[in-house]
Amino acid sequence: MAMRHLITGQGNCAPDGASSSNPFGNLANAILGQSSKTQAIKELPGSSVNVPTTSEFGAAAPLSTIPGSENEFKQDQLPLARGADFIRGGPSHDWVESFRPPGLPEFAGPDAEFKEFEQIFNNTGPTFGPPVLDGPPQRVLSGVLRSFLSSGQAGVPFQPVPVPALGLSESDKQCIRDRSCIMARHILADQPEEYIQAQVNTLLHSLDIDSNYRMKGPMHGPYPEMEEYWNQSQSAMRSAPMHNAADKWITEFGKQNNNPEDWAHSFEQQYGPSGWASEFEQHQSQMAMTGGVNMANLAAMEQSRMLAQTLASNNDPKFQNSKFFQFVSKMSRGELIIEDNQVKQGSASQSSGWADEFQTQHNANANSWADQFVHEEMSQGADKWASEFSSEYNQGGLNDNWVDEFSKLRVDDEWAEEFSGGAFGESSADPWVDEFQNQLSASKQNSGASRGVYVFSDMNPYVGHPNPMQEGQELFRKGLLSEAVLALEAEVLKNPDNAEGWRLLGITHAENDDDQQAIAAMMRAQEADPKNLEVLLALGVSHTNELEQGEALRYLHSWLQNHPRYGGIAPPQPTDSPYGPDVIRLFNEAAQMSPEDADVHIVLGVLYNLSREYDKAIASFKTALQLKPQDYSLWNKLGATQANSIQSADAILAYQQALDLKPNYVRAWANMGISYANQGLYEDSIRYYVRAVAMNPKADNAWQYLRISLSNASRADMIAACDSRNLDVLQKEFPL
Amino acid sequence: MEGSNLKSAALLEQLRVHLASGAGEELVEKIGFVYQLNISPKRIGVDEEVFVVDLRKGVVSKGAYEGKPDATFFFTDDDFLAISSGKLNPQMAFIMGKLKIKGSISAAQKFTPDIFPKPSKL
Repeated sequence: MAMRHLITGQGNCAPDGASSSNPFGNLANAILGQSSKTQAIKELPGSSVNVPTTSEFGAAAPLSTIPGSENEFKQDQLPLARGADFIRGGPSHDWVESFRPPGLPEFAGPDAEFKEFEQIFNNTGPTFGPPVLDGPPQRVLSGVLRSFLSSGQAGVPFQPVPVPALGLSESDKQCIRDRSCIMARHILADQPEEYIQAQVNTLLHSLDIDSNYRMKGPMHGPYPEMEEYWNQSQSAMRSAPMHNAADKWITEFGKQNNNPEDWAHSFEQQYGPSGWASEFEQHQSQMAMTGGVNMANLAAMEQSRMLAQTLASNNDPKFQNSKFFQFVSKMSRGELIIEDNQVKQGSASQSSGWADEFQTQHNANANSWADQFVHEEMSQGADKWASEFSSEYNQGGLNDNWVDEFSKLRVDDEWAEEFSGGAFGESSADPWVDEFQNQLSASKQNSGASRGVYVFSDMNPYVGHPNPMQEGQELFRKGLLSEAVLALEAEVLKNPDNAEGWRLLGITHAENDDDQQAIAAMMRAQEADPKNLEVLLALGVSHTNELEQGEALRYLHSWLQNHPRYGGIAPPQPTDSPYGPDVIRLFNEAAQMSPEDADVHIVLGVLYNLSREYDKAIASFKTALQLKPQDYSLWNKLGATQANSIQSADAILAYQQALDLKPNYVRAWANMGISYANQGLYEDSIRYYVRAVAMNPKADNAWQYLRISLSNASRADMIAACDSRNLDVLQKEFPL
Repeated sequence: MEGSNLKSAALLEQLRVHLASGAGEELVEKIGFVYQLNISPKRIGVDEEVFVVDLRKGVVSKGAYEGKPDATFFFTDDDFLAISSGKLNPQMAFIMGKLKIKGSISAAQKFTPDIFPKPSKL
């Protein structure tokens, strides 16, 4: 018989008709009335977290509450018809040309350009021949953009021009805004940030585009909101495809995660202002609450405490010793709790090893939480999601990007494992998880290994370019690294066996501070040309950066084996795991053979980095620099080695040399930030990180380090801007 | 740190040098706890290697701590690197079961990414 009936349902438990004020009735209601399934356990540990109830899931959560997602959603909903025109174009000139309607002749040939330049030199003022401002909108736009570009190249301020209404769509404006920001930053790299801002704003103002929109990198996939989620899933586990039901959940997590660097702080918020430990020692009952006992139990404890007081005032010793009184007072102390009509031993009575206690409580809670989530998911149509997923998957094309995106993050297997067996316990191993795992294994078969897979950018404007290789080399030479990546990607999509294309792409990624992509590209280069020495060296360096010693050694060893001059020194048979000191010995032999070969000294420097003999590494790089003083990447290698051996002041001098030779060297900017941060100069480090991410908004490492520096510099106010990757705000706040 | 094939060993070696360079004093003052790290190559608890980050004395060493550390962490090589570089929030790692903790939670809370020097890239 249910306990509720025992107490409330039967009048004989409450004689005198006092059922409404019957303390037993209240007790029973407190315990049982609230222990129905929906209310059972809805909370993460810590009562301040609100997990919405089922009914709240029904109402569509406002999308704008997800930080940083506004633009993506907007963009997603708007027609991209005219944007497509834009996307098919190339950079700079192509970028302009892409707005030229197909029927019209090219707006201005080389002659026209010369005229423009003549005008610059003849005229005293920085005036330009005003672009033709009539005709179809695309033609007007093309003129304005061209004059903006040439003013940037000529180093004179852009003059605002009156422009007739163009009737640009939101997506057009977004495209123009984004790409003009990126282009301006590169073209005007030597100018102060305010100047660049002013230039862009002038242009945007002329075109009647709201310049306050957030600046973004040029990359938006077909599912931008998904990318956003996945990008952030490194710190917060977010599941993009199920946004409808999970929106609130995601927001909730986002809120909790606002300052994860300040772990202590958020723990305090969750578990009460005073230290959890002392809390526990002083108030066992509160421990029960913080440990994860739900509100229903707390209410029950409150009720039973009142009841116990009432009962205790009765002096009858027989009653005092009764089992019932003991039961109630135990409940009031939280030693017994009631769940689903069953009495259980409460947590507070087991006071040994409270950390273990926390863990069990926590797991118990997580189980139920996961369970509940899964149930809600199911009811909200997880099946639909799964089938959507598989049908999407069969479409191929689009979806491959998604799979790549997914595998890039390398969360797939661990994540699934986590879900099925990890902290969430066996309870969540239900159809949804199975479904998910099936999809995962299917996607894995298709995408190959989760690592070392090159991830192409979406919507590459260089696809269809007549000679992307040349364009890529040109852009790389000019230091427009992010644009060069796009051009080179177009090249290797066109000619997948072009080893040089892959190699340059890898180098570009390395200079752009993205070793994962660099490794992936270099592996393709090596496939096409297994004996290319530059490729082998680059692979060795990138694996060293990723702290992957075994791989790094293997590539550097085969560098020696494949070298025409030193091949004789190294035994030709391939070894899977060469021994570090042996490889170093072989290279020292090579260095003795030809001391004037800078490359040997470079490899030696990398090898000494691997074995953490930094002084020797520094000496090797310095020798190499005497032979190749103009090699900016060599200056950066010297700087990085000095930084890793905690000689940050010297490192900064070396980085400065690298940046003098190559101002757009993102890696050196990021390294500069690291050196300042490691010296405790967080304010300075922030400025360098911001510069790095402004040049390459995809430099994830720099973003993460920026976040750490912001919190260390007590600039928590800027963390939101960092999380939403709002370059505008950050650059304004931290100009270099 | 010698003889370890873990990626974490490289980072811990760097932390060791970093602490010895004088930057340690500030951390000792700010944190003042002893952490033991049990790091496994692939799965928590399998083939784990034990390191001690002693922020009471400002030293890093290999092998279990003699005595009782304030907190012991269990994680895999990759997850440790992700946490120390700011990629993975320790609180989230804990919730996801990627990080297990033994000992004092209040000591564990002070184990944050800013303890570690960031490796510079060649």
